[in-house]
Amino acid sequence: MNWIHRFLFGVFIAGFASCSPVTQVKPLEKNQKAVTASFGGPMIVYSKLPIPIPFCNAGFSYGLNSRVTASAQLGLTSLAFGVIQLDPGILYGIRMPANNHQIGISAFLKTHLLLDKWEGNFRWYPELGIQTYKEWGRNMVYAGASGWFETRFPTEKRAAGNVWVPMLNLGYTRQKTKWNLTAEAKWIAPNISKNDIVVDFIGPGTNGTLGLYLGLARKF
Amino acid sequence: MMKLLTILFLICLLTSCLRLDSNLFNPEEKISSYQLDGYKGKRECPDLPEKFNIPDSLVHVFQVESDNSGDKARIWCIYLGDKSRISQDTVLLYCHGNKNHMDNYWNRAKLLANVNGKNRYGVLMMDYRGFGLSDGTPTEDNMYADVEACIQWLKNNGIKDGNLMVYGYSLGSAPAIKLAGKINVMPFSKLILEAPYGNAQTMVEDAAKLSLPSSYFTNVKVNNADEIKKVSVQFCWFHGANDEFLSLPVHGQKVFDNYKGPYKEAHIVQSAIHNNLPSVMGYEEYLSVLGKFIRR
Repeated sequence: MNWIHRFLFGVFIAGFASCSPVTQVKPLEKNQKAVTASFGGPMIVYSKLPIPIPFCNAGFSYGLNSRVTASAQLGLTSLAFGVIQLDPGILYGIRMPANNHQIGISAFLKTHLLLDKWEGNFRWYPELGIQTYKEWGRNMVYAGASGWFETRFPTEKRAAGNVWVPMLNLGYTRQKTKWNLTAEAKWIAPNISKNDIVVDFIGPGTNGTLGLYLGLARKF
Repeated sequence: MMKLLTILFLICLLTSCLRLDSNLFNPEEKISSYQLDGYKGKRECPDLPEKFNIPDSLVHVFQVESDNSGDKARIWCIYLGDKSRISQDTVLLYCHGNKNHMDNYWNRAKLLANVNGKNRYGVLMMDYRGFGLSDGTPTEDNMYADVEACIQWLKNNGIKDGNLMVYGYSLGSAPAIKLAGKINVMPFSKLILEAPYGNAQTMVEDAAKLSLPSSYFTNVKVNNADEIKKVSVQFCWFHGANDEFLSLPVHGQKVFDNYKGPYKEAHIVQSAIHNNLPSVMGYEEYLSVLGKFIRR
């Protein structure tokens, strides 16, 4: 099996589990709405060039109050495979910065719900994350950690005996009045060796894979 | 607006058809004829010494008709041995991996034709549908039908019960195990597997690192780890310790552990990866181990 077919078989699979959109770190204003789109995924080598796998998401967010934002994303790549992937979640502002000198802290809880049209197989994976962000002018940088959690036990008898798949992320958002443009890098599964699996991932060291994502948000 | 989005969503869902099935079958190269020794592309056992060559008179390239419930195709086969003696010979049926065609596996077939001495056993291999010059589309069921068509050819040429062994490499482990575990046109007397894979579910979980079901990505139902439980003939397993594609603990070990038959032996080859096991093991050693298993 050559590398391209390994890639096709493996990366799409891995991508499903790592195709979270760019991370929303700052709660919306009360009653504010946003339509979001996200594009990107784990890095692989294609024709000797490192590129991210194109996984797409579209979503909607709504500010319940100044600290709490509800959101839901639909996985468009998953949909092309006949899998409905819906990711509802809540973002909570733990520390809302009063000025540009302060660092904001937020946390989110998401549920990744997946159901395929082929056999009706359903899975759900909660994701928990904590983020810090710093704004200056129209710019914002953020960093944080999150993780998908396994919900089917016991895991010992499975190929993937992981209880969770963690991710570390670092991002930049250019904020305009109506639009936000975000670029984000994720180190996906830094606790898991990328050796001896079917995918040739790019990532620091021998563990995990690097993901690159672009996100666009239109606020209303 | 919501109505439109709902309709768009339903259209997308109903028309979505991306599956990774075809990626399990990787014929890669299109050819106009089989070159065998003259083949210049990449091949298994590239450094096979000339002493393992087979006389031209004992090399037969031919076609058989494969019929998968009415879906017929002409598939190409190579038999190494004396066709007129099949009724007295023991034959090793070799099911190749998921890439390329018989030219790629030609050296392997020659090597197998040297087990326990040159041309001691006949060796039959085939290109599944869509591979090499064989007609049709490769699918899981077509692959089983193609291997059964080869067994039928051997039966038509007089092979006796108890004289047919099967060797499955990588993807070829699927038809080898499946047919060893059921009553087919001719029962196998021994099962040999090299770098077998566990099942589609294992492959998906191995990549995703979560319990995602294989149905999210593929319709392939190959489940060697389960099918091996039905096998009641003697079993020999080879696997490279450094297999980078079908890792030993995740795939091969699971198949080996689930075997419940009368006899099994394992040969883990240190430093070997997915496609270089005989070479790393050493051709003589490989033949010796295989020969002993076949004789027992």
